[in-house]
Amino acid sequence: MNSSAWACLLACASLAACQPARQPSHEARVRMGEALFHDRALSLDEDRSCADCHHPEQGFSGVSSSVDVAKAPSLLDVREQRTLGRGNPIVMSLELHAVIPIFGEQPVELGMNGRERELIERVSRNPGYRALARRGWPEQDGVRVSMITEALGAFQETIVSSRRSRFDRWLTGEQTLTRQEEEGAALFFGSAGCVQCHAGRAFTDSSDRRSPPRHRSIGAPDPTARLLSGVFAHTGREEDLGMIKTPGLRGVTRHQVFFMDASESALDAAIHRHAPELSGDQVTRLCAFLGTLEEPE
Amino acid sequence: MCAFAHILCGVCVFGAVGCQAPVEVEIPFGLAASGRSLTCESSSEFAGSSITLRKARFYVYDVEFKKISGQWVSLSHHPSSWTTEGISLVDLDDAACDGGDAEQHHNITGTLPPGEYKGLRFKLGVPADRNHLDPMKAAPPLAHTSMHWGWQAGYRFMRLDTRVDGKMYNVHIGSDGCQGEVGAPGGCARPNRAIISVPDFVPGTKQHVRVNLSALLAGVDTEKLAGCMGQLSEPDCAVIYKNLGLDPERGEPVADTTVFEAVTP
Repeated sequence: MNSSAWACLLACASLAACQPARQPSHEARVRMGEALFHDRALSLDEDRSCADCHHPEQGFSGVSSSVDVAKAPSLLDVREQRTLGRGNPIVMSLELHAVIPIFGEQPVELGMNGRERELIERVSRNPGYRALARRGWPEQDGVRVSMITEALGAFQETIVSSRRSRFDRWLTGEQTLTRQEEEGAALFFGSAGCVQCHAGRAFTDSSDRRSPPRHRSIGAPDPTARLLSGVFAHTGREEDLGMIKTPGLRGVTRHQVFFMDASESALDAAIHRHAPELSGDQVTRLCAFLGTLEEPE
Repeated sequence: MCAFAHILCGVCVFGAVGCQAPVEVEIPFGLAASGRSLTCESSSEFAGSSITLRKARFYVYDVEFKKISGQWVSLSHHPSSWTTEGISLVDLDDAACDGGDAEQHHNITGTLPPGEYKGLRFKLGVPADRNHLDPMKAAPPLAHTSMHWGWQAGYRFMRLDTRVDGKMYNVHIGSDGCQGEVGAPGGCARPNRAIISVPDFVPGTKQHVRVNLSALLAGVDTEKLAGCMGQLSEPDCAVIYKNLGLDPERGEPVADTTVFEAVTP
C-alpha cells in the first residue's frame, strides 16, 4: 500500500484550515490557561503544576507526581478525543475536566479541594493573570474560579499535533521513510491490527477497551485503584471492569511510561504486551514506524 | 387604600389564622457516636476505639414539617449563602478539625405557615436536576469544592471524614453509576438520595437533630473499617446504604432510617 492509501485510512482533512478567527478574549483565555498550566501556585504546597505530570516534552504525558504508579494521559490532540481522562463518560468538556486534578481527592493531585478561595487569592495576586482575566472575560470583575478552569480548557484545546511529523509528510509525498519504518506501517495498518483501535488523526478512536492484562486490582477502596479502574470508576458497572479509553499515539516515542498503571517503561515491551504473538523483529519495525509520528523539533 | 384596608380587615375577622405571623423555624444539627457528641473539640467512641472528627457535611432539600392535622408543609428557607433553591448545606466541622475549615453552618432556618407542628422530613442530597451542573459556576452552597465529587461529576450528598484510633475512616455518599454528561445528565444507576424522617422533632423547642454515627455504621466490619467512598464494591457501602434506608443495589429509599434522630440536650 502506498502513502496515499494510508492518507485515505486516516482521513487527514486539515482541521487547522477550518478554524474560525479567534476573538481577542479567547486569545487571552488561552494565554492565561497556558500560564496556569505551568504554574505551581495551583497546587496546595505550590510544588507541582499540570505540566509536572503532563510534560510538554514528553508528549504532554508522564508519571503522575501524586500517584506514582499512574500514567498521566497524554494531552496531545485531546480536543479530538470523544472522552477524556481514562474514559470518563460524564465529563466531556476540557474546562470541566480541569476541575478533577485541581480539586479532586480520589486521588489527590493538585490538592486544592475546599480551597477555592485560596486559589482565587493566589491567582489574583499575579497582575498578569488579572490583566488576562479582564481581557478574557470583559463582562466580569476580578478573577473567578470558573475562569481558571475555562482558561485551562481553552489552552488544552490548543495542544494539537502539528501534522508535520515525518509520517504526515510521507503521506503528502514530501518525505520518505526507511524500509523498516514502511514495514512497520504495513504491520500497523495491516496484519498487526493496531489501527483497529488506534485509528484516526490522533491515532485513537476514543473507544473504551479492555486494558492489556497485568494492571492492578480494581474496585478496592484506595484512591490509586479508583484512578486506575478507568471507565468502571465512573459507571460502577461490572462489564466496565478493566475498560479504558484507547490512548492516542502521536508523540508516543517520547513517553517515559506506558499503560495507565505506568507498568512499562519501554515502548517495545508495551507493544509486546498488546500483541504477544508478534516477533521481536516485528515489534522493532512497529517501534520504528511509531517514531515517525514524533513532532518535528 | 382605605377600601383595601377594609377588605384586609374583613379577611382577618373571618379568617383569623390568615393574619397570624409565619412560624420562625430553626433546625439545629449535631453529630454523635455512642451517645456522645462528636465535634472538632470533643472525640467520642466507636467500636471500642476513639473516634475524632475531620469533616462532617451534608446537603438536605425538600425540608417539610408535619402539622398536627397530618398535613406536610414545606419550609420556606431564609436566604443565605448556605441555601439555594431549597437546597441547604449543613457543615458541622470547623477549623479545630484537622480536615475542617472555619466555615460552619449548624442550623437550617426558615418559616412555616402558622400552626402547630410535630415531625420533620427531608431528603439527604442534591436534587437530580442540580446534581450535574458545572460546580465552578454554581451558586453557594453548591460551589463548595469540598463537596464536589469530580469522578462522578456530581456532589457528595454526605461527607463524614473521621479518624478511628488515628486511622482515617471516611464515608462519602452520592449518586453513582451516572450516565449522560455534565449539564445533560442521563440518570444514575444508584441515585442514593435517602429520605430522612424525624417524627419526634418539634420546632421551637430545645431539640436538635442529631446524626447518630453508631446507627449509620451499625454492622460495618469494625476489624477492617474499610470506609465507603461511594462504590458498592467497597464493603462498608452496602451496610451504610441499608442503614440510611436505601436499597444498595438500586439506590432507592425503601425503609425508614434512625440515623437522624431528635434529641433534647
